[in-house]
Amino acid sequence: MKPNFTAFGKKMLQYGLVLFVAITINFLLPRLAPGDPLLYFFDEGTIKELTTVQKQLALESMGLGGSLFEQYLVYLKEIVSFEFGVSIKYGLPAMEVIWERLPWTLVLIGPAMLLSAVSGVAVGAYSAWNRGKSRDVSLLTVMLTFQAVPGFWIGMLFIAVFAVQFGWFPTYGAVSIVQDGTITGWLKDVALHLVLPIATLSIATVGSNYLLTRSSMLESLGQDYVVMAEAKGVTKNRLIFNHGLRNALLPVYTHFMMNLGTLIGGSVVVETVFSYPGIGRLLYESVVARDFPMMQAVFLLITIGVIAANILADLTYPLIDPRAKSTRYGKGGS
Amino acid sequence: MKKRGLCLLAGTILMLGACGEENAVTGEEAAASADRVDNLTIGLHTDVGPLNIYTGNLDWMTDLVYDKLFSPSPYVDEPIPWLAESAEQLDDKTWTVKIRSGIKWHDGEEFTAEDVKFTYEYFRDGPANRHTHHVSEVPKIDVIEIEESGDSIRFECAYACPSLATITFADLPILPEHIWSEVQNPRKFTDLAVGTGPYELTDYQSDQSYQFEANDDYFMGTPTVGALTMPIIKDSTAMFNALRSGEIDASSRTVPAELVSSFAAEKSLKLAGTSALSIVQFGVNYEMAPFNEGEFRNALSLAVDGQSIVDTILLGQGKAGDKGYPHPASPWTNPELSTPFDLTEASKAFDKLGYKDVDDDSYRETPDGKEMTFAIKVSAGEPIYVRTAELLVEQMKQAGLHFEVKAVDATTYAADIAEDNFESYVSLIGPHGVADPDQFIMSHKSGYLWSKEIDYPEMDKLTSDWMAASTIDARKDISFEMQELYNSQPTAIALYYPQEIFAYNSAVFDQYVESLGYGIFNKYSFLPEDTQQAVSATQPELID
Amino acid sequence: MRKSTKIIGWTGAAMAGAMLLFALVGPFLIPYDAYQQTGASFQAPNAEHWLGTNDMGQDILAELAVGARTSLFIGIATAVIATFIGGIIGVLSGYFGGWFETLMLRLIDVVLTLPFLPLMLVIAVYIGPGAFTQIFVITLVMWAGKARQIRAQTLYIKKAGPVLAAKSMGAGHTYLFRKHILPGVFPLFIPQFVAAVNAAILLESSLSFLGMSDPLMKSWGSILYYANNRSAFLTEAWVWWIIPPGVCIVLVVLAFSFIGYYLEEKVNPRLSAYVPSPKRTKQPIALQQDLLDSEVVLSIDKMTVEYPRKGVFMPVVSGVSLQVHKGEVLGIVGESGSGKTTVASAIIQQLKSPARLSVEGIYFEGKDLQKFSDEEIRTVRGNQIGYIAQAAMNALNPVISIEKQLAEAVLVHHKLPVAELNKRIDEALLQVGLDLKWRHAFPHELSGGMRQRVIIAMALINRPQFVIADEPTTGLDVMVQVEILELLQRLQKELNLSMIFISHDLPAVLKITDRLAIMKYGYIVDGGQSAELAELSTHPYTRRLIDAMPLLTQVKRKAVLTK
Repeated sequence: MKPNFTAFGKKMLQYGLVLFVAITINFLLPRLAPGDPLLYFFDEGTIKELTTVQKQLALESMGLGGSLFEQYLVYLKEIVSFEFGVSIKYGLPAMEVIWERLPWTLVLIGPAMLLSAVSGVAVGAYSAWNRGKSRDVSLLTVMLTFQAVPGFWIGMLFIAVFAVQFGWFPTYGAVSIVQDGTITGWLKDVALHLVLPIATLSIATVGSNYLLTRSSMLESLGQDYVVMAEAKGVTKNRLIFNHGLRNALLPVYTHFMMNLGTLIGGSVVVETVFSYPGIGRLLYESVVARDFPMMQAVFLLITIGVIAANILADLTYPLIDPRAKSTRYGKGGS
Repeated sequence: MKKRGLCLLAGTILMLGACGEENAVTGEEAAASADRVDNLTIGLHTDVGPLNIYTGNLDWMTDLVYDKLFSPSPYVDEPIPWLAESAEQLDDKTWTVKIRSGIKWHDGEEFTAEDVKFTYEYFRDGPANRHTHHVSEVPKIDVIEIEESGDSIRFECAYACPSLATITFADLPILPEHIWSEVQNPRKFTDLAVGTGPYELTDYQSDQSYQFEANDDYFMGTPTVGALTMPIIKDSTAMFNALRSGEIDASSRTVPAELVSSFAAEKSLKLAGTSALSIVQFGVNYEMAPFNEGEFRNALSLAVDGQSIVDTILLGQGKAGDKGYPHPASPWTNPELSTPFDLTEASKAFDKLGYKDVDDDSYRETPDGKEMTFAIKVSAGEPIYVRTAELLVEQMKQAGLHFEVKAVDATTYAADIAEDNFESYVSLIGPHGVADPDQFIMSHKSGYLWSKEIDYPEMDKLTSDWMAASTIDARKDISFEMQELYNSQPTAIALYYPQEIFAYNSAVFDQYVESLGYGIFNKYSFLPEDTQQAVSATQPELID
Repeated sequence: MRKSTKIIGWTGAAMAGAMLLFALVGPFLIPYDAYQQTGASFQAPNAEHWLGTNDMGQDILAELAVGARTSLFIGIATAVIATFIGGIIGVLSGYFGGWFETLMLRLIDVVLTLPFLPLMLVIAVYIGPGAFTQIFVITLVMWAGKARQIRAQTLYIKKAGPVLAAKSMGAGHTYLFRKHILPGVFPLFIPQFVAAVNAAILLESSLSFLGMSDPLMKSWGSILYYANNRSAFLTEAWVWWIIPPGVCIVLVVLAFSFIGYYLEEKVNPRLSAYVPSPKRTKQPIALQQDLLDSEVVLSIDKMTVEYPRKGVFMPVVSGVSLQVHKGEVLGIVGESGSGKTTVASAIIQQLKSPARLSVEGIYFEGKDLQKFSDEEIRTVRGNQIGYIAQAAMNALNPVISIEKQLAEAVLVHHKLPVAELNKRIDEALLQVGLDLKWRHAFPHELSGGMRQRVIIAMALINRPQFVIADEPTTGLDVMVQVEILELLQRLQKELNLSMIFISHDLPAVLKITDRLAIMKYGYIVDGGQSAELAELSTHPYTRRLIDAMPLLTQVKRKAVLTK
């Protein structure tokens, strides 16, 4: 009764490869392009006034001296020892800035993921069960429309309508500057700031969950075991959920876990639109500012996160699909 | 001591005089000036780090925390002594400065002459920053020594430096020696700034907010606002939404032209117009043909219609750049400068130079018949300048010149400009560049307006005259001549002078003053009225 | 294909067509040049400029038309390139395999795992804003998913019969590609292409909004970029400057989504397998006393079932009538396609559209099942009528354990305390000869024969009076078949079940049944007592069936014919 080491080992090797490629891309890209971070500190006018020696000193003080290969070795060493360098823009260690921002992204993505998944799956199952009827077609149209809406556009419209026009929600940020000092007050404030961003992110991602659930359901509902269950006298709800959905969820689950990368992408846009201080926006700003250490750190972190989610999906999949477990009894005789 | 007393007296008399008029205005305003405001929330549109100058810089914010020997800035005629008690010019190349006593740093240490000596030497010899050339080139200060008395410092320049007090002393913030002498790498120094200024930086969260507490023992008067909270809101829409909804009391981002009318209609908000000492410029690469010909540049300048740009893109909020470069509102600028828009003259000039349209494609060719096409480089991250460049292309077409816009991302743009990789460009130059007479000289050496590697006989002669001149007035006259020369063949043509309009909630705080070049957000807005008067700060012009 | 799908597909095509028309013809029809200043800036909509003007005084409607060209061009170009690249790589790696395939697979994995928007941002910033950058960057992340899918499809085709056959006859690569592989994968290209267009348009607009587009180029995304930068969200301008470009994006993407949906349904037949049943309402049901009196458990009166083929309804079952008495086993025999299973499905009301059923009555214990409501028929299924399905391979839910499925069979009809329930399950398993340890197993851990036993156990667990066994031994080993048959026979005798036994296996039928009905092409052509029929029937079809049974000697024959 051995767990399948070779398959697991292969997968880990594959993820290791992805990580390695990500690290190398991360390192190379910023250095291959024009423009360097000196420009972040000085305007063009002042740069013209610097001598070559002064420029070189400035570059070295930011860890950008030496040949490409030398820089790469230093970079690898830093990664292994978990130092990701000091952010050029903030002057603080990159990890410190990331730790400050990460919770905000998590508190935005977490509920959005959950909301999008639960509603997508529930509505998808309902739609599949009623396939072809007008309620299915209308739900399909609504969901396809959600999928067609650009995230940034709907986000800004939300702000214009619900925050500015009606004044129900704050217009930007994660917390208000002025607090009443109580914990519940703070929690309520954070929650209010989260409503519109979570709504935007959920709307942008619910469509694919719905569609996948719906088509997966349609396949599973057409299977013999559902017909069999109906012939057994199983109730409608049990048919939908215990038989149809239970099997339909398998591909939805793997898709969901692996699409974490997409969610992070969506969060970049949403965080920018709502001026939300998460790591998505941090990445965008550090890319624009050519803040190499920060950019590398965030990109790497995101890649590791996605890989971790994939590994989690692989490890937990057997829990929901018993066919993927190693056999416990071996194939029996007749 | 005496000078300070006189100033205060003068200020008080002025204030008393002004008071009489003020009583005629609403009692509300009088009440506002009497009570101190506990907290003011100002939305900040950018993040410049913990105000340690080397990790990012925004002049007015640095100025809240640090003080200079003279104030307010090089952009006024006569800055007054500030950290300095007095300054005296001993001869053409030597000055001595007596510093005030009894001033403490935010961490409790005494402010001494050591701090001044340290700062000037650090800026000159240490890692470069934007103040460096004020000590290392124009002017060039060779020796900085503390006198025997212990509270005076002697400055010796390499060549005549008559404007040391009016420019350099009014530009350099003084750093605490006891902290900065220990700093290994200023670009990685992330402790909160410690200065002598009216506000102490008590908290800074990167990308989130700044928190300042008033320094109640400030030697120039108790600040009128107890604490300043500045949330960082980079997005323009978010900033103005927050202002509208009352989440912030003022916005450091200027109100875009398209919003002015709707904001003017808001009852709770006031709009203050200031003359920004900045110029949106159309620069050319003077090292390549045909821009290396002074007369070509002259003709080019005549073909530019700044007013039409202001009317279309800025809805009239700005002034056409027909008074040339540097900024007309600066006391250091020649008031007679004129760079008009005259398309007929321009065409005639191009014709005379031999640039005619021989093949009838509506674009001129070079005198030897070759086609000419030029790129206007612009930063893709500045939509207003992109639009400006697009309008310029149309205007140049009218003059028969073929230009096209090339937009590149912000950092690439900056790299290209720094490496002279462009034919022409559109960008903004701020007060440091256009209102500071020493800078004008520097700009001709640094490669911006001219490069010291290329001969420019007329300008070079004027420059050496300038350096030899030993009085401010003499230098001003020569400076005016240089400006005349420059504008007759400009390497950066003034397109328009932006008007900066700031919006704020007047019910919370209404004592902003404009300090030329700093807008309404400057330390003087939060200092007592007599101090405001002393530094020639003016009431901002309210927009309806 | 269902009507709703067709409507969706054609709506999509119409919307896409309208947009394409707008893009192609719009700039000619609108009297303003989108690149020229044709009015004062920041104007609200008026008679001259229907959507007002932007910050440069350019007509916004004109901008939208030009923007349509750009956005559609970028979207379609990117989709074409990405699908093409992905397709080629997919086909080649699937077909040739080897190191190339391994390399490509690893590459695909890497690309699919890396978070794409950050990757795109990073690359776009460095190459510099512009249309080429956008196309390049979006293609870079999009080809991988398509390559993976096309490879899977290529593998599937490669292993299929026709290709193997052609190969064994010496067909070369070019031939195989031309005749088999490419036609096989091509249908997949199209829905993928459509999905790619959507993704590309949305990504382009996001990138433009983040400032990664060439600001001189007019696309819907860049219109929004300027609108945002010129404070459109802070004034009423958002109504005419922000909403129209967004609506255009939504319409185009929606149009392609509709088309994609239509194509998916066309290409993927498995999606058509499920059809919802119409709701059955409660009606008054008359009792047919005469049937009860004569102990007729099931009576079918003239059943006809028709299926549409190319618009015309063809009968699958025609005028079938039969009766089953208490404790009797009725066999229904016929070749594949004779309509046997249809009759069985019809009895328990599981016929799905597009089948059309017309019958005078299906009486179970004197009541017409046709008139039963949803809940009423549910209480009959699995409780009073047990159904043993054909091809038990897939009749068990693969992710639920055996005991849970057996428990379900009971609990949906009776509320039993746990102890009682467990006893029932144990009894059911033992009854069909399965060891109790299999309770916790999953269906894939059991052999075919064992699964069939579970199905039988499930059918009988509620002690129904009536059992329909539809081809219960098909696909099993001969030895197993014999065992199952003996099991069924024993149980029927023990429990005095009334049964319908459907099969095309004549010896089995003869062994277990009392009476027979012979079906051909949907008709009952012959019927009667089993042994008599086998011996004495003169119907040519019956004779053919019976005589076709391979028998060795008379002795064996007699053995088969008698129970």
